[in-house]
Amino acid sequence: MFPNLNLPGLQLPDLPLAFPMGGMDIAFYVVAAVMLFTAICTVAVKNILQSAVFLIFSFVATAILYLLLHAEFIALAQVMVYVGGVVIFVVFTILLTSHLGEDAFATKIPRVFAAFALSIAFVLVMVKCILPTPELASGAVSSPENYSGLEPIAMRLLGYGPDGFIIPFEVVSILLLMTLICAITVARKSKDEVEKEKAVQQ
Amino acid sequence: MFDFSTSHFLIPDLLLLIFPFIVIGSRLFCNAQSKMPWRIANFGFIAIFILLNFIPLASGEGRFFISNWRIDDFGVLMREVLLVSAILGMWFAKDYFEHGADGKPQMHQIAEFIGAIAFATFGGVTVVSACDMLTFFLGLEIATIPMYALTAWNKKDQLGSEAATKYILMGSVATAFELFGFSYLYGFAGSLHFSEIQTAVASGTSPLLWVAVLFLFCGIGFKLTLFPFYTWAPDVYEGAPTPVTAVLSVTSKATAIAFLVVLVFGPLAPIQEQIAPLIALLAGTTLFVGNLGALKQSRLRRFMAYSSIAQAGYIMVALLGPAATAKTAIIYYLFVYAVSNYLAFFVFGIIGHHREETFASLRGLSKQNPSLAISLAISMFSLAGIPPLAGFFGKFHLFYSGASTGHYMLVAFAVLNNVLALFYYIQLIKSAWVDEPDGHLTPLRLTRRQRAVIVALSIAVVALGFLPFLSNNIVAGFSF
Repeated sequence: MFPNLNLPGLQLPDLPLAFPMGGMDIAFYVVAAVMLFTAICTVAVKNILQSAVFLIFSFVATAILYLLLHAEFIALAQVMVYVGGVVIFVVFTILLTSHLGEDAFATKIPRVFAAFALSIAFVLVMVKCILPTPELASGAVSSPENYSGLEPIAMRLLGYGPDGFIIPFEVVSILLLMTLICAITVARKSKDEVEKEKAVQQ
Repeated sequence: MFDFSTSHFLIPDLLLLIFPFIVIGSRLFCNAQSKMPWRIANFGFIAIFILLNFIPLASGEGRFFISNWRIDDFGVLMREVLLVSAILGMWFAKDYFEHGADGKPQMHQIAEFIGAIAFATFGGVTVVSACDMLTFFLGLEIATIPMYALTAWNKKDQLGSEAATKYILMGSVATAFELFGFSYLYGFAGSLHFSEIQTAVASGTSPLLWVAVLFLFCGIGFKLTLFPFYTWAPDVYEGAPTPVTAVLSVTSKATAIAFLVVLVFGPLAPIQEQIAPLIALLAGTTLFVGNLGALKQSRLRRFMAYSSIAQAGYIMVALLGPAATAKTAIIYYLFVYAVSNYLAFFVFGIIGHHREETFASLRGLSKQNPSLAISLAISMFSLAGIPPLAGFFGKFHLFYSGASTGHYMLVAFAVLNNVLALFYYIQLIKSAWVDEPDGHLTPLRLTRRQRAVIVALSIAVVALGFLPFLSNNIVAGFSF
């Protein structure tokens, strides 16, 4: 792990942690730090609109992270679906819902403390579980070149073979259609409701 | 008999898939009062159920379609449980579209309602047919999302909307937990396919795997209403329309337990022994908490919610056993549970037509309508597990499965808890048989369908106890 590092006092090699060695590693740590910072800001700021803006930055940072891992397709999907679709939709909802963006959330101290303690405990457990896995600490890309490029993904997504994903692909379409049907049925107004509204307007 | 070869085994699944579109689409061609969608729905569901019975059972790996769609014994029998639940749920719901009940207004759009139930059923089918984590996860979602909509089906009922909101929020958190668990499982095994995950798990564990298992159990704990995650259930069961509560307590629970069975005896099979303490802990606490909660309820649906939480705990006990025993016990118990639960709900539905759905409304039932009171007693005794009713043999198999791997403490605890359960089930029977009615009782009216279903279900609860093979694949033989 530390081939050129022979300081007598420094004994780190037990941990499989590699200090930033190349441009890739530095880029990863910078992006990850930005992502963490914006993620914390998302839940920490009091204005919900600011929170949504921080969420956008966090998603963009995630997309950059995917790009660093050579997953172009997922990076593009991340930008298109989350940044382009979901968050913009959230922002619209916030702006269209009057007064929602202005209120500060009041929280009580014990609850914050409990949440904080739980989060710290969770982070500790995760660190303890992940550190002994050497594959995760080294930045080596284990998959072959262009493994997650557009074409291989497309070929597997619609493949009928044992490693094809035609079934989940079709099942997703069922899921979306079903959600649409259910949502429309629950949300749409019945005839007498529409008539009532008309009467009120007149 | 017509030729029903291997390649035809996929037909029921495909029919179930296009079935909701036919039912919903038929509404476009007939007016609002038409009975056409209802008739098509009846015919479709029953036809699919009959076709399922033609699939012969044969032990082994099961058969694969399009490489990754597996139809095995457990899958076929689970399909039958889910379809029985869907058919009974549909019959039960029909009356709520004709008049209001339990102080709530009448519901609308029966075609879409049946469509949503069919989708939820297909979700359960997807869960038992999946060979990779992606399909598996999507199946669970397909089974859950219609339930959110069904809970809010009665738009004029504020409580229903509130319950649905709560359900969606809780359900989304559970889904997030599950996805997190799946992502770690993928990170551990490096593959989405069950067979490859199983190989990876068998070749050694790591902390990543334990994180995955923990999160998967948290996520499914929400859907199966296990102990620390059950809090949404009483509120949602209370707020949802009564037929939705019935479907929720059977279809949704059956799907969740099928999910666990596929997981524990599929990819996680090599470490079943190591996760047994976790399962035992969840089972023990869940059935204890469910039983304690049910003691003090006065509203019938809230009572059924706690009762179903306890039942989930009992079913979890069977997961400790060896694969074949556990699967047999769980399938059989799910049949019995579905039949007993729907019988209780049918009786509650008739009582709730003109009265509130509380214990007090049951008073004087034995004098006013003895046959209904008998049906209620049969279903309650079956849920409590009194011989010779089906519930006793169901619970016997569950406990046998748990005991066959030496978890005697848990089984003893579950049996003791059963005494507690008997107490509150008998309280309900006492309301119906012993308590004097206060004041004038509104008359009970039964439609022909309700009477027929109640008689059939009562007979089924009694007969399933004597003739357990009735729940097997009747046409194909009894090779369970």
